[in-house]
Amino acid sequence: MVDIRGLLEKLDSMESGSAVALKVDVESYFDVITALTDDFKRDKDMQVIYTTSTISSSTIIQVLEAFDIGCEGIQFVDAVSYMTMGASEQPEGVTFVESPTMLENISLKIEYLLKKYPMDENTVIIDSIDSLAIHNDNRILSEFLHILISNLRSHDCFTFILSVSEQDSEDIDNMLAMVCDDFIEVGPKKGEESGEIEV
Amino acid sequence: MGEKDWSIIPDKERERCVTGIEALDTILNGGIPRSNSVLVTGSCGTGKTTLSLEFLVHGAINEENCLFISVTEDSMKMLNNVVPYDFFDQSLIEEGYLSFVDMPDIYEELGLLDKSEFSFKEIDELIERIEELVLEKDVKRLVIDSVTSVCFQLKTEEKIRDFMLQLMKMLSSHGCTSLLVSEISPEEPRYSQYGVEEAIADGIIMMGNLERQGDLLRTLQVVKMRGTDHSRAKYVLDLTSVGVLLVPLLKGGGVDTVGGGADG
Repeated sequence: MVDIRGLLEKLDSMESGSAVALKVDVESYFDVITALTDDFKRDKDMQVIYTTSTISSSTIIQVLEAFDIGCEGIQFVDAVSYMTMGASEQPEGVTFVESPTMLENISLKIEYLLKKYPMDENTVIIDSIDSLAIHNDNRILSEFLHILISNLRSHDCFTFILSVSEQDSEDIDNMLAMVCDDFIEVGPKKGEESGEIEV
Repeated sequence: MGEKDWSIIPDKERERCVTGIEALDTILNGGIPRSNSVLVTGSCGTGKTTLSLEFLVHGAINEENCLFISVTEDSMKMLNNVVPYDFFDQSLIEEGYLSFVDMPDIYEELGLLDKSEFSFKEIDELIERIEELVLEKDVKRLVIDSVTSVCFQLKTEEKIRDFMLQLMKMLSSHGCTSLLVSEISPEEPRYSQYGVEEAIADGIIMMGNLERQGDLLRTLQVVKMRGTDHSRAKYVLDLTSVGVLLVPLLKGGGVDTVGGGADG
């Protein structure tokens, strides 16, 4: 288990085209999101494509803004809001997918954003495999990950797949271990509250 | 009578008409074999017109003369309704690389506008007029949207066969690669409305709607393409401003087809 500082140090040595599974405890969840987007967008000046099937893009944008992380340079693929009837208008930087069951369309929207906004370096965050697993059979999810990650590798993207420790599933761990180069568990250091972690 | 050249050109060496739709060119091992006539078939809303138009726009960008013959819809209205491509430039039309002709205008020229059924002679005249357009503009890519609407006025299987054979032979002889849009109803258990078109065409690109757990996905499948090895797998497509995008259809779950004719 590493804390967020330890995670960022690990990620510094990542090569482009890498895929990393991040198993995050609930308390560190938002810290990890903000740390990842901040590190890859602001510090490394990469385009970040944030795919959410957990909470709506508008909520994530609010969280990032609360941490003074501007959302320009972040493209959201939002697979939640349509399903919850929360996609009445399409804000700039947000692309909707009708449902988290439309896995092919998630891949297509990522592909679209990579072509529409070509950058030398791109980071793709999948948040999260657990929420996709609620809506999809493990076989199709495994196939999706395999195809998506192979495609993102061919684009030299950094890929992060988030999972939540509290929703531990051996099947999902095995799935991630099979397609990812690294599997990192992230949590607060003993005695540290997640909100106090400096990112 | 001149001697025929019977030399066999291996598939890999056949010149390709690169569609410019990256994933489709990958599926086709580099593009449509030059001079092939391909049926783009599917039910309504599956993306046939958009795919066909993109094929022409990429050709025009590469300075090939391209012609879109619109049968049922005013071509300018159709242009306004398709996805606004990032790579589309009005100058392609102004410089003559991309042209549009409405079939009713051709019918009017030939005195066919009010005819409910064309005779064999009138079919010959129609083919001749299309050939004139191909030669006038040295057209290398052609789309007819849709041949089903033309066939509707031919009525008999013999006439449809005659029209399709003549059309494809003529286009091929001028080195013109064509996409012939074919409309079928969702429950149709075949690739074309009259059954004749699919047998004659060099290729069939099948577009459909696939329902899975209440989600409706647009799909594309190359069923047949003479002159090249190709994938016969089914892909999911998205019509975007950067063009048609394709990813493999995931097979992990059970599927039901609601569109795409022979698919079902």
